Amino acid sequence: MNQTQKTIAADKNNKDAKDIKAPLDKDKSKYRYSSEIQQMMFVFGEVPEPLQETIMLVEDIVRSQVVEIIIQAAAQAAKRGSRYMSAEDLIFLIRHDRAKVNRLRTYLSWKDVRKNAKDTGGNDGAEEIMEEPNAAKARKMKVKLSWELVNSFSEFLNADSDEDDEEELEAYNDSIQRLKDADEITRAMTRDEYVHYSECRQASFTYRKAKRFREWANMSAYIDMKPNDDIIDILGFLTFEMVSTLTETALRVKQDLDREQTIHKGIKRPRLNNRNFNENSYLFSPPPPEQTALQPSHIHEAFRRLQMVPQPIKNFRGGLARTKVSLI
Amino acid sequence: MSTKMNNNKIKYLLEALEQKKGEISMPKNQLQLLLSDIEAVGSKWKDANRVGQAQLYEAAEFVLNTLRGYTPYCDPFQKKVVQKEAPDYYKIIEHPMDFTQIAKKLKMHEYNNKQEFADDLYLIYSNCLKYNSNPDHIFREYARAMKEKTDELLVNVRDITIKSREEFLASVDQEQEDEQKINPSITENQPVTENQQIADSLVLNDEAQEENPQDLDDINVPVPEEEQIVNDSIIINESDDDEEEAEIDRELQEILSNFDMPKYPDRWDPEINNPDRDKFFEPGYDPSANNSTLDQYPQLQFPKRGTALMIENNIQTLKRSRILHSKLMAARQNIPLSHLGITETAPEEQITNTKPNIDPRNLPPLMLNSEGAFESTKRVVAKLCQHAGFEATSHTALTILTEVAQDYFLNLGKTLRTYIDDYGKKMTPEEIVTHTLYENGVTSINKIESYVKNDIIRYGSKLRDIHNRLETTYKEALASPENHETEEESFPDTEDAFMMGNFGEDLGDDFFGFRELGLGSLVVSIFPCNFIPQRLFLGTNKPKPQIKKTNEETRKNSQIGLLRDFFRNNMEESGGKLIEDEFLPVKQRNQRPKVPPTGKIPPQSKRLLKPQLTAAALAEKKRKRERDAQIAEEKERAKRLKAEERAKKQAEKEEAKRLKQLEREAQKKAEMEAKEARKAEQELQKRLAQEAKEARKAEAEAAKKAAMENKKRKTSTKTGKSKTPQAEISSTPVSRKHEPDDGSDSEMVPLAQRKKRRAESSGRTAIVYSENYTSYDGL
Repeated sequence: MNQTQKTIAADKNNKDAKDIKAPLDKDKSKYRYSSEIQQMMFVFGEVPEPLQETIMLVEDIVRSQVVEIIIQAAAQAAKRGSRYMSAEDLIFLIRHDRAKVNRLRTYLSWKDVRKNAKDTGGNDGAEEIMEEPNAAKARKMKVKLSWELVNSFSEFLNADSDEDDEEELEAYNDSIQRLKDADEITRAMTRDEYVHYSECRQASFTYRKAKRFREWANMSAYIDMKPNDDIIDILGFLTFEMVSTLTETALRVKQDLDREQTIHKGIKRPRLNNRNFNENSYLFSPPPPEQTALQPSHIHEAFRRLQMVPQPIKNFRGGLARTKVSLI
Repeated sequence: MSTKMNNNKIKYLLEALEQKKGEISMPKNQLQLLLSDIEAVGSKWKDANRVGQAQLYEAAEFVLNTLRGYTPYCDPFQKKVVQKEAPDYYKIIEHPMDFTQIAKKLKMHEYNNKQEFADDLYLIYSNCLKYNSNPDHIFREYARAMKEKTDELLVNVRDITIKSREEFLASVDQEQEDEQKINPSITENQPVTENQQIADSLVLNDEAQEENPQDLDDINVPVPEEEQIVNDSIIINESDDDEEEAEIDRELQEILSNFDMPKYPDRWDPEINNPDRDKFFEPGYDPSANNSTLDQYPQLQFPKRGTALMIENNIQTLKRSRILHSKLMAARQNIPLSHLGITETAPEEQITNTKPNIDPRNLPPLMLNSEGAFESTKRVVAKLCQHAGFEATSHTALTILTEVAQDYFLNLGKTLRTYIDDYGKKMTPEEIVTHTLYENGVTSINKIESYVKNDIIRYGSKLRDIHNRLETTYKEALASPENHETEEESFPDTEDAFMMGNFGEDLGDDFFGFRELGLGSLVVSIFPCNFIPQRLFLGTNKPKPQIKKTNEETRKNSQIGLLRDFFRNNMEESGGKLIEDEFLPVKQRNQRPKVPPTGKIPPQSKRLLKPQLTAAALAEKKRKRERDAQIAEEKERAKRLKAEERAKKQAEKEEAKRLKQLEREAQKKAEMEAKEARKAEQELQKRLAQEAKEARKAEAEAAKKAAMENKKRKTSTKTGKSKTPQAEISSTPVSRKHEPDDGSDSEMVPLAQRKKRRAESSGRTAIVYSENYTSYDGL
């Protein structure tokens, strides 16, 4: 039942999208990640076929954020006196978001593991057939942050893996929460839908698209240095996070708006959340209202909310200082 | 003018008295009364029944008027303080006083003696000092100037106590009697009349007065020395708080004590009852001149509890770690510690240095102006810097940081003010505080909590952990593989031993021959003995550990009863000899499980693991292990595939080679006999068969291995499951949808396979994501 409705919705959206697409063909070249963003948004609870405008708006926002990030990171690298951007510069920008930093670290270390595994499997696997695989090689790389005081002593400490257990646990809990959310979303899906969903989960801005990403972000226009692949990977991670935050905030905005409208109209409508609906549905109760796509206005509002970060040191200063774009 | 006239009058009177010395037969008290009356003639303060009032009040009025004209210093004290100008004035000052008030009191004849009048004057100034506690306040300067002027003027005011007529007469009589009692000889030797005596004194004084004509007030009574103004006697009564206020105060104290704030002594006001109070009046008075620094005040010390204590502990740990770290550095680069300027006792010394040993009561009272507050904020900032790992900061940096902090607090205050002004009626105080914090960057209260939790508590435990690890590293670096302690003991620790060079005998033989060269003592004193084991230089007399000869019988009997049988059996088997495991030939040793190439520990050893870990830790461990195992397994599989491929390729290559060879041979030896050819063919065939057999064998082996692998994996996961029931529970929310058999290995199977399985089981609705495979970016 649910699925048919969804497909109907998708058809409708498709039609809408087609209508819009026609006039936008000329600046199509600017937007290169429509499908990825669409997939990501779907993963985070948006309808499978979001509005084309919305997608483009999200892409614009993400690009501006990426530019902002690399500018700030380049400034950071310059402050260090380095000519190359390092992962630290990027992590430094998001250092206040502990959970995100932890997740990024885990992500980076696993990336390293994968790379190592690939290397050893590819090159010398044949010769070492009878040798024991070197377990140490497969160990995770530890991402060390220079501003953490703890690492200034590390030269004398043998690499101990149990050190960051607590942080790892935090990151782990975080990802478990995400998995739970995903589970919630996919609960009512059919097999095909699920397959589609799990494919969408792998959407990325940068995975095997590093070149396209570089072209898209057009970094050379803003900074002198050329970010290496690691930076691109981290940016991929961050862009994914951005889309997720944007979508989730926008959904919350939409929910709030809908509730307000319901109260305003005085009509008692069932909640949009599927699960809640299922809990108090009856045999002859009307079908749940289908989820509508996010409007660009929702994204705008979400962006506004995300930009509203107090900047305490500027209070009572007056003037027209350029407010920095706060990173999502 | 009136005083001048009086003076003239008295002058003439005194002259007359002088001339008629001895003729007057008036009693002394009457004469004095007369004099007093005469003095008072024409004075507006004249009061027949109050002897001395005129004199006192004349003088007082003169003083008051002089003071009131003492511009510009007198300005702030002229009138009552208006509540509008200083809203809290009357909360702080319980006994306000000003010149107008004093003038009024004079008019109402409220003063009975000089002391009362002086007290009121000084009250004005002490009030001023009390209210304007800022040492730089201009009014303090004024008060100081006024006080000086007052001191100067009051010296010339006679200490007259106003008495009624009868009292006066009585008191003069009394005085006279006292005098006679004390100085009977004088009266005997100089039989002059009392009147004469008085007249003499008057004349004397008159003469003196002429010498100093400006001191007009100082007429006939010499200023007794006791009359020096005793400032200490001005006592401002400490306020009697009404009960209510005290109650509120107590409540406030209780609330405050829950926060991490220094407890102030209950209403200890340094301005009151402080014998040092007069110091304030000294022009050059400076709180810091007394060598007292801000940190000597109990109010400004860091409290010994709460977060401050935690921070302090963290800093100490950090310091110790740093010292250890530099020691390690020194050990590595072989530099004596003294070169680095580090002593082990440094931190302890510092701790004791900061302790104040001055009684806070002896300190000048604490007064904070903005500079003082800035300095104390600086101390806090410095502390936080230390906590963040900057043991020292440049002065400029610290000042800038403090200024930022100052700015921030100002902003906080301003925001709070704005909110109270604009929304005071619409919002609850909690809301206002929350909003203020939000505007200033604390987006939620939880942030503060998480700061304490993460940046102080967890940081602290991390630091301690690092310190412990550094310590162990250090110990390892120092300790030789053998027991370090005994070596230390055997080493003479008295310096005399080094001096005399007689320690060599204790140490056994001379490894490098230093002692023979006469370098024995030199070497040890050059190299820090901590870093290079002396054993290396000078050898050791410690007996080499010898392999103990096993005495089987005693060994057997020394065992506990349960094991005796076992050992006896063993002995019989081995032919009367029991050997330690180490000395057994390899084959007979207790077989330890070998770790297979997968890196997984076979199930038998798992039994030994004790389930002492907590559930969470177990879950974590399990997750890690599984991940590792998975990776290793994957690699293994890839390798196996490769190996198989290679084997196949090799076989093919060999075959091709052989075929080629065969052809060549056939061509070469075409003319050879058929017998030989047949033989060759046979050989070839045999070889081929063997080849095929080998290949088959290899394949079978691989298959077997794979099967074994699978089995092992299954058993391991099974045991893992049975071993960690709690872990299983903790992970159920994720894996609850799965049938037990593939739930156990779902994380090990690549996504494609899982999808397939998923396709097969149509009833299932959800699946667990293995984070390594499904999402590339997100998790």
